[in-house]
Amino acid sequence: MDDLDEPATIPVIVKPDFVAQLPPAVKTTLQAEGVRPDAVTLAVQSDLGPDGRFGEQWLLMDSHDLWVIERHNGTANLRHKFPLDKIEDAKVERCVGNGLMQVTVDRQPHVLLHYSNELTDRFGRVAHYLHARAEYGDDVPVPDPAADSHTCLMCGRSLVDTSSKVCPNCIQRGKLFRRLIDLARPYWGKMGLIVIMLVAGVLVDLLPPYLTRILIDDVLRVGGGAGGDPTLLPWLVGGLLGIQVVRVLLTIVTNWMTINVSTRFTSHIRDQLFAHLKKLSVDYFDKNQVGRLMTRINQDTEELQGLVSQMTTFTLNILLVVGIGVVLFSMAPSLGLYVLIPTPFVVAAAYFYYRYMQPHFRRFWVARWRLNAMLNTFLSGVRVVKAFAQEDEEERRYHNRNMTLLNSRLQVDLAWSKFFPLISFAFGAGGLIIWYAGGRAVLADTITLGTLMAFLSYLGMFYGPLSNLTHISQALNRFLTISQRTFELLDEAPEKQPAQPVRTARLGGKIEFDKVTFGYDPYYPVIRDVSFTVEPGEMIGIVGHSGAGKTTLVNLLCRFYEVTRGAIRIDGVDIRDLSMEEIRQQIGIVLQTPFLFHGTLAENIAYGRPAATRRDIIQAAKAANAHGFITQLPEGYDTIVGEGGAGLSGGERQRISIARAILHNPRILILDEATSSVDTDTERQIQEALNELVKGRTTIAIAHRLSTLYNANRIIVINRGKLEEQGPPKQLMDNKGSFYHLVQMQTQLASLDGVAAV
Amino acid sequence: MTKAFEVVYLHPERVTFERKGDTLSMTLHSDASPEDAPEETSANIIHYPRVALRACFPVSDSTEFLSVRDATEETIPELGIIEDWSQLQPGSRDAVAAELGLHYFVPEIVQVFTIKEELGFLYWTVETDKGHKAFVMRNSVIHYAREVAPGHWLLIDVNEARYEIPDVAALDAHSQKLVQQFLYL
Repeated sequence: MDDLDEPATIPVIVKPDFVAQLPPAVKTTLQAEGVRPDAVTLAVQSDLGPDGRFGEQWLLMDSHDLWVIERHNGTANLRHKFPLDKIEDAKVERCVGNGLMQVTVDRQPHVLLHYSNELTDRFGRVAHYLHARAEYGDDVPVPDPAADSHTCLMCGRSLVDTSSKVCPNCIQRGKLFRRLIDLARPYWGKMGLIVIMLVAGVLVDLLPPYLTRILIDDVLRVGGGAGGDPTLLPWLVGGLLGIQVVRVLLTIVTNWMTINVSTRFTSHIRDQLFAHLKKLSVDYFDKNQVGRLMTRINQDTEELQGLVSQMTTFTLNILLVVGIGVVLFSMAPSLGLYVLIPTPFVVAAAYFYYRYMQPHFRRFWVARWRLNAMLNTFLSGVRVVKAFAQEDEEERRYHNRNMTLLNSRLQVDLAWSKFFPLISFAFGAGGLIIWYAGGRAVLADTITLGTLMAFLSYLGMFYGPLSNLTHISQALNRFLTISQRTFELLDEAPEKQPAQPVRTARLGGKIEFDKVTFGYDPYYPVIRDVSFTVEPGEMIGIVGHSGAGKTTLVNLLCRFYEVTRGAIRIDGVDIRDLSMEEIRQQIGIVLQTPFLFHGTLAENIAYGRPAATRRDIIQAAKAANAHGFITQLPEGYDTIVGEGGAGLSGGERQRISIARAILHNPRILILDEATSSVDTDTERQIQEALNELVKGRTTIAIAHRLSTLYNANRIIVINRGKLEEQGPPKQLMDNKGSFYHLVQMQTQLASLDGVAAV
Repeated sequence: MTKAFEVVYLHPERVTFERKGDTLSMTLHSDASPEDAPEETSANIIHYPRVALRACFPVSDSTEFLSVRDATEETIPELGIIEDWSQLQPGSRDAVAAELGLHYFVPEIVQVFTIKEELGFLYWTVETDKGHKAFVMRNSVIHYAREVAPGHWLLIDVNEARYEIPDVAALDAHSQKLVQQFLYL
């Protein structure tokens, strides 16, 4: 069964020893083709067969040919053979749950094979190589398909979850704990104090039954011998009272300290997480949904806090079980053994209880989540529901989910009501055994009555902690899972910064794109070989269909992403050599959907320059055509906007973001569809503001409405990631190329006079 | 030229599909194409060296409404829709079935051997209609397991590979117990 437990790793062979590793049948097939296996330069295995089942196919290459060989039931057969020189192009395509690799030979497309998703990187590299070889000739080096793919840093096996660095098998629990303890370094002192107080608490807990024993045996002398010592009575009762007072004080202080430490510890972690988060690249935020990151930072740390407190409880219980166990055995070794009789039942009952209850609880939570999600959808879409008269249908859906919730709740309660009496019975039975065996011992005079009573009191304190300890492994596991997720985020590599950034006094604003190729996923490029130059102070318009890659160009310039090939230069310096801060300080962006932070309008305008004076802020607002409407608001510049703040119209928000850009005073200005989501009148007002903003700056304007680009120096037309045309608007119109067609199409649609003026 | 919003339906008797290796090609007899098809095609036959298939309803119904696309073009434009591809000629039908089986690689789980929870991941070992498989999914039922119809579950693993359980109730008792325990049914 062992091989069932771990996902098998699918081999990729590039090292010289692969001859030995190739399956014999594949080798035989190669030899039949007249190829010496040791001449093979690359061998990659796919885990899907041609029949659409899990299987085995090999893609092999030597310096002349490419083969695809299928292996099935120990026999191999050749599926494809192509001379490498005849391959004109190669690419990978995404399918559902798998991908395929296609080559073009004699202008005919050939699908070579399919592979499952986990192998996308490998085949992507091979396709990339074949593509490059077709373009640049056979001196392109053969890639290592396994290079920096997602393998575990510790065992080298391919990672199941590509967002982490180490596979779950390799997470060393001990190491994780050491890291956690290290992280808690500022709280070591307090934690030590808590442990001391816990020990003190346990010792105090052990005293009362001992005093009771003296009370019964030496003072009350029930059933035995002459009268007791009545003078001891007030002392003993007083002692018991004192102990209880001490116990209460100890509990209060311990709880207070535990809460204090766990809360501070988790808020410390939260701070660290946020500090790290802000260093991560935009790429990371693309790959991780907001919801998941929110969970990591909020819920996980909160749960961590609960777990830290729970760990204290566990420590206390361990101390209690050990302490009481020692006392019980030393008081009456024979009775001590009887205590052990119900122990396995208590432990087993408690263990099954947690195993059995936990799923019921989770099921209840999931059902509750589903019901809430449904309610949320209904409330946010209530107009649609009413417009389409679907109230009854929605009610039925809600009712169904509500019933599921009801049932899961009933199951929780039922399970609880079944198990609680059973557990109590197990505890009680333990007591009964002691009553019987201890009673006999008292009657036979081997122990005193006081000892028996003390014994029974200790017993009452013994089974509770013991049953609590049965789910220690579960809690510990949860604790480690959450710690692991936290460290995963902290281990995420921050944005790459140049080791020694080139310092420039002030950017002039010349931008060069030099044969830039880029894909968010490197195997699916969205920008291909784009080159253009923007002179300082020039205004460039970028146009093209939606999805053509216009915004991607801007993202690359801001270095939100790194180019796959080629280079982007500002003032002749590769942006990879400039410090991130410097690039972004010199670039101002106005986006299509302006983002306002929660805060006053003044704070929003001064976001890029918090030290700005009120005079500067008003000046910027004035230039952005925003001063007029701001002063009309009841709270003027002090109006709170953003989440839960005043509602501004799209055009007003846009003018605030322009004011923000003006105050930021960048050398390079990027306008990403700044006016495409507003009406024509607002557009005119924004356009006026923009005209003010672009003066003396290098400007790159992306626009859907071509009318907004009439005063651009040059227009760049992007089509499916490639630069199709560039030149002054007038010249492009005369050329009657793709820009001309775009303008024609828009003129037909809306007959914009701005375009006609071009 | 066809207008962008017009749906072109391909008549199952007027198209033939052929599969060489894993490459699916289609021959269109022009009667099956829209009325204003170019008359220049002398034999009224157009051959597409590689087409791609997309099911409009891949989960709920995979034999109806099949979109046929030209895979040689970068945008993979739609050539037309076949309403019911089970009506294709036998050879074409097999080719289409094989292609769909490869494009939509969604193994159906027929038996669950083990499910193990560790540090936020669920490790599954299963037998599927496409062979034995071990896979890993994040232990977040809310995000990675979807009930697409009553009792019909779709699981998404860490590589975005998909697995289906068409009917939980049809699994054997051991598998059902595991699935219920970990998917909180």
